[in-house]
Amino acid sequence: MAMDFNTAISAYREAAGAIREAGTTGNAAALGNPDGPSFVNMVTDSLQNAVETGKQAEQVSMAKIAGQASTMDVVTAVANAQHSLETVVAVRDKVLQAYQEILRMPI
Amino acid sequence: MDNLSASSKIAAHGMKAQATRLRVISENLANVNSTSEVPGGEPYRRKLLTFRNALDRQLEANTVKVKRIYDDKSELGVRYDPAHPAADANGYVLTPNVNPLIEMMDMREAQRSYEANMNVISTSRQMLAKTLELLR
Repeated sequence: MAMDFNTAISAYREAAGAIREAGTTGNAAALGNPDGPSFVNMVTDSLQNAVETGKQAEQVSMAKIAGQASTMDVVTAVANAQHSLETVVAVRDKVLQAYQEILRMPI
Repeated sequence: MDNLSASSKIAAHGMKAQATRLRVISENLANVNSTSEVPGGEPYRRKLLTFRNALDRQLEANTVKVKRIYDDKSELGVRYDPAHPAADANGYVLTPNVNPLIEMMDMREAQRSYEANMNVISTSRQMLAKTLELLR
């Protein structure tokens, strides 16, 4: 049972890793851990990336207001941020759902 | 970077290139009557631009860039108007080699190309969103 859950977490980590930028450090030690990273770390890491892309989008928007960026840049940056956030939210929802399934398990 | 995000970035480059093209066209259209200040001088010359592909290292794909904006060397128009300040000794004024009809056609082409790139962006976004829907 426990092993299956770790496999699932790893799969979600893979999914979250796909949207994680190369620059973000996170906790490499925990990711290499055979026990699997904790759910909290996974969500924190991927959320950090989403926040990072959100910040980028805001920077581009500010540049646009200052007249230094084009509308196309703003649109792609904001769409990118939106997609990152949606991905993180979807993964979080899915894992929370799994947790709730376990909590509801009759003992 | 995944391919769907990359394709919307590439399309954004295409949109930028078409925006530059529209800027050049608007310059041409606005200066359709711009003549020289001095007698016998050169009027406004129609501007053209070329595009080229540029390899984007980050995207690992070919994006489009405006290569160069240059003057159209074709023949200028001539109009007989002795009262004009730019008229030469014989009373002829050189007029810009801008043909509004050609500019309109170019403008339409730029618009269509821009729309095509916008469609790429919305399609890639739709595909990403639909894929994410699978998780819900």
